Amino acid sequence: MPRLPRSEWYDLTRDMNWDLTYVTEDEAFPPQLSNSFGVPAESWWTWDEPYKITYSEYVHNQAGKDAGLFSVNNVVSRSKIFDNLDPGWKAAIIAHYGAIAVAEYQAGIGEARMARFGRAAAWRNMAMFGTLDETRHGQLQTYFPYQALNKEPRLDWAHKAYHTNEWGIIAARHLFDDMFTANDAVSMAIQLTYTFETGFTNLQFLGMAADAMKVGDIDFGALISSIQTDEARHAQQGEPTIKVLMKEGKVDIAQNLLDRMFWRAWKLFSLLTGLSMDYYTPLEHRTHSFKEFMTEFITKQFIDQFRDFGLEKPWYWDQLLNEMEWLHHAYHLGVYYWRPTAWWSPVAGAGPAEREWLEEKYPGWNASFGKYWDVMGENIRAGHPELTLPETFPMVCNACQIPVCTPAGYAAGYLDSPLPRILDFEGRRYTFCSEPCQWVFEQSPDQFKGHLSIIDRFLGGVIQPPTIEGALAYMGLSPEEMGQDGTNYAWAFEGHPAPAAERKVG
Amino acid sequence: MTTETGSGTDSGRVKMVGPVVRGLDSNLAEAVITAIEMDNPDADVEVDDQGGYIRIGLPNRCRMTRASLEDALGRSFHLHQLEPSLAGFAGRMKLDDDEVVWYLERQD
Ligand SMILES: [Fe+2]
Ligand SMILES: [Fe+2]
Repeated sequence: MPRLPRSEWYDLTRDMNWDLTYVTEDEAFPPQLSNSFGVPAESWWTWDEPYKITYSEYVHNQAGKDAGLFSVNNVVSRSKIFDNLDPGWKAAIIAHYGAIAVAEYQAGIGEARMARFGRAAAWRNMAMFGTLDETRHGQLQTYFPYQALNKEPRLDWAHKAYHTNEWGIIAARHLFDDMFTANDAVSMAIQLTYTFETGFTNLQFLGMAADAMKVGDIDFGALISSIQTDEARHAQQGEPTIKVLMKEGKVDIAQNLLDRMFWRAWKLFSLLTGLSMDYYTPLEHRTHSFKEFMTEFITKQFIDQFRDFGLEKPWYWDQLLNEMEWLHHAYHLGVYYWRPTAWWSPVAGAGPAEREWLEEKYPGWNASFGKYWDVMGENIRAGHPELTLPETFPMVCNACQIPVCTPAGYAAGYLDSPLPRILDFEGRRYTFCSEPCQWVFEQSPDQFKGHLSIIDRFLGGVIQPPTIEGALAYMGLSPEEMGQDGTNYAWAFEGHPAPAAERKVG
Repeated sequence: MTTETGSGTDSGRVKMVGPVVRGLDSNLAEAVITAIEMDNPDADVEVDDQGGYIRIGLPNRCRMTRASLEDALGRSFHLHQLEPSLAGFAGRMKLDDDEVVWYLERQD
């Protein structure tokens, strides 16, 4: 280690910016891979990260993080822990691994793009650490589930999910391709490292870590909170990128990039984290409601940060607050009803005690969403669980790729109309779940117009045979992998004592 | 004070800044709290222990020096070694050899 204080040599060793003479700037930094938004090269060289770290410090820290994590992992033995986990918590972690593990490797592709096409040496250096970070996250989150594969074959979806056309994965892939796999380095610094990692990943990786510790799944809690320490560092690529854009008068560009990705991240995380926190985590171990975590991490912590850079709340802020009241309740109903299309077994989370909690956290829940669960409970108790299963498919949004839930939002009193939004564009009809989703599409229609949602594929003859069975096979779901009621309908009998013989359902 | 979800304007809400420490590192978390209390004698330090993470915050500006942290830990410590325990933070962060500051500048 050098004897000089780091601050006296760091900037000098970090900065290796080149005056290009043999090639043009566009050849070295093609706009498709690195959009300068008209900012000149020398201005990008003022890029200065707030969180400085040398390579030797990086390696030292990362080795220590893994040593700590694996000492926990060795002690608790994933495979034994798994037997004792609550079915709801199992649903949450199986959903997590499928949705996240391979996406981490893809985030590594994004970081590697910034490590080459970031427009300042300092930035490329941070992104190089980010590339190594994301590789670590991909490896850890495929290895940890692998350890319990003998208990739960669906943990294989940690690796398999992104190689399928399961509907939730189509949605996640659509989002992550937009955010990093197919994004340019400059937009990515705002959309991946800033909007997503400074903002939304906290919900799933810290919020769920809090719940994991209460549940007693120390292994998972240690894993995801350790991952988040990497994110907290490499997310710092956002701030200096925003600063350069702001200094060059590009505030509208920075705001637009933020607004587009903020909404998209909200949609996917209300699906993943919303269900996990408010329905899958066992009631006695819940720390906060999803809405409370959203308030803590997003509508306070994150908004304070981006406003400090001179950015403002996205234009659809009121719609975000509106959806925070109801959207994930509608998603949960949908995922439960269409459970054969999920690679985890959702629990209803709608027994009497859970319903009381939901009513307390979301006043009006019983009168709006509770009534659907009343009907499903009655059908199950009457010996007709098949009535709680789907015969058709819902409409899907052509932006977020998640089923359109406007009828549920309308019925619950949160929307003025149950209808989706329709856009006719270049001879094709597109459907959207919300005004911001349509706006996202219209910001960049050439990018999105050719994509077929799962329902477009179903109606367009891509999925054969065009039946529920055909669609499930298309999604990569064998009968053994399809989601079932995670508690084998026990929730429907809570508070409804019934003779044991009558409880043979499913 | 506006509503919890921050609807409408946020002006008037006290903006809290400071580190979010991993719950598994409780020794370090304790030392960080002690050091922050030492380095910000005029502020009330809020500690919210969520098990999986511990949020430490005070209004607008939160400073922690290497010297105070070393005092609290009773051993030498480089500030970059915080990273394995630093799962996040509120506000913006400035880190150099001798101190780390979490801060927000905007007044409204
Ligand atoms: Fe990651
Ligand atoms: Fe990341």
